Amino acid sequence: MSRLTIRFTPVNGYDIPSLEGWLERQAAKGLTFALTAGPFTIFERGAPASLRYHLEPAPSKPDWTDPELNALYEEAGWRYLGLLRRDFAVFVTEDPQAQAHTDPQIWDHALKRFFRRKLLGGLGLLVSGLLLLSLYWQRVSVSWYDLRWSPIETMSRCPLIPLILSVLGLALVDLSWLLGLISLHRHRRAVSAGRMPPRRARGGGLLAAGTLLLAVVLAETLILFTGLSDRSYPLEGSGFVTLEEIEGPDLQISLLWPDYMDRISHDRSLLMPERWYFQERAWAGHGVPTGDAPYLKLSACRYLFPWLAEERAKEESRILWNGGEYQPLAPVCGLDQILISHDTFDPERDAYPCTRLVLRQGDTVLFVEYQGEQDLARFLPRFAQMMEGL
Amino acid sequence: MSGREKGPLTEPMYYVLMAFLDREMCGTEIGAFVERKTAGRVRLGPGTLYTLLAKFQEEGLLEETGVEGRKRTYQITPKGRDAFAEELARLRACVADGEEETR
Repeated sequence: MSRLTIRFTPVNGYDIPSLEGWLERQAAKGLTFALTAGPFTIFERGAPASLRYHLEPAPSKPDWTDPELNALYEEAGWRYLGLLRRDFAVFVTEDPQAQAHTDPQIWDHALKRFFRRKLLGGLGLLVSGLLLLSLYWQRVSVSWYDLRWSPIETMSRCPLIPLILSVLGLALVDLSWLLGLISLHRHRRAVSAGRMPPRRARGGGLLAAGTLLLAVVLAETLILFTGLSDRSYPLEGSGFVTLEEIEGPDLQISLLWPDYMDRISHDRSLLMPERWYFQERAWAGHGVPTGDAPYLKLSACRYLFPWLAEERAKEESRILWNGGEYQPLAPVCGLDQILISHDTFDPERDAYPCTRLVLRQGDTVLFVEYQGEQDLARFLPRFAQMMEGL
Repeated sequence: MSGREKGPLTEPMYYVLMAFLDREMCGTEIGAFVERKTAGRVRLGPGTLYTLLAKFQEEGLLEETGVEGRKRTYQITPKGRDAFAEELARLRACVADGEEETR
C-alpha cells in the first residue's frame, strides 16, 4: 500500500487557524502533511498522533528554503514539513503548549504583510484575467442577436462554452481569494483582540471548483492549439455522399481550391461539438463563373444530447434561404427529422436551383446544400447511411 | 536622532534589541539570551523571532553581517541603539512614575 494519500482541502487557503485545525485532525487519523497540489493536500500515512501545526506566512519575496527560518523553528522543537501552496511554511511539533508566535503585535505585522501581498497579487491576477477575457471575447465576436435566435449554432461555431467556463472559473477563484482575504482580516482582528480565532472547515470547494473549470478550459485550449482536435480523414472510403454520386459519373470535379476537397474535415475537442465538413464543386469550364456549376456542401454536427441536435435543426429551419422555406418530410431510413427547402429559382439569374436539407439522426444533425438539377430527396437513404457511419 | 517612530517596543522587541548591545549575534542565540536574561518570563517563539529580525532590518535597527550555514549574524545599528535607549528612558520614566505614586 502506498504511504501517500491524497485529500481534498476543504478549507480556504488563507484561513490559517482553520487550516491548522484541519491538519491537526488529519494527524489524529494518522495522516501527516507532505505537500499540496492545487486544491488537494498529500499526506503521509503513519500512526495517529496528537500534533500541533503552525503555518508561517511567506515573507515578502519568499526564499522558501530560507535556512534561518527552519533553524529557528528546529531550535524551538518544531519540525519543518513543507510548503502549503507556496503561501505558508508548515511546521509541526508534538508539544501541545508550543507557540510559534509569542508577540501578538509581531504576529499581526506578519499577517498584515501577508495580507497586503495577497491583496496586490490577487488584484493583479484579477486585472490580467479580465484583460485575457476581453481579448477572448473579441475573438468570439458573438452578438446578442445570434444568441437569441440561434444559441446552439452559435455555441457550435464559437468557443462560447470555453469562454463561459473561463469566466465562471475565474469568478470562483477570485471569490475564494476574496473570502480568504476576509478570513485573514478576521484572524488579524482576533489576534489584536487577544481572542482565539474561529476554526471552520469550509471555503476550499470554491477554489477546487474554479480550478477544475479552468483546468478543463486549459485542456481544451491545448487540444485546439496543438492540433489534436483535427481528425480529418480521406474522402475515399469515408462513406460521404459526393457530387459525382448525385450528378453521375460523367461529372468533372473542379480541382481548384476551395472547390475541391479530398479529405473530410473532422474536429473533436472537449467542449465543442464534434464536426464534419465537406464540399465539392463541378468544373464549370474556362471563363465560366464557378458559381454556375453544380455544387454540394455537407456539414454535420454531433451534440452531447439529442435535444440539442433537435433544437439546432429547429434553428436552421427558421432561416429563410433566398426565399426557400423549410418543409418537414415524413421520417424515413432511420432519420428522426427531415426538413427540405428549395430556393426561389430564377432561370435568368441562376444557373441551377438550390436545395437544402436538414437531417437529424439522434444527437447528430446534417446540413446539405446542393446546387444542381437532381432531386435530393432520392438520396435520403444514402445520407442516412452516411450519418450512421459518422 | 529618533530611534523608532512607531510607538513603544513590546517586551520581545525590547529584549531582542538588548541582545545585540554587546556583540553581534545569530538568530538562534537570541532565544537563549532572552530566556537567560528574563529567567524564562519572556518567551520568544520562532515565528516571532524570525518576523522580528526581518522587521528590524526593514526599519534599519539591525543589519546583517554574515551568513554561516543556516545561521545569519546581525548587529545593531546606531538607529537601533537609539530606539533601545528611547525605550529604556520610557520604561525608567514609567517606573519612576509608579514609584512616586506608591511612596
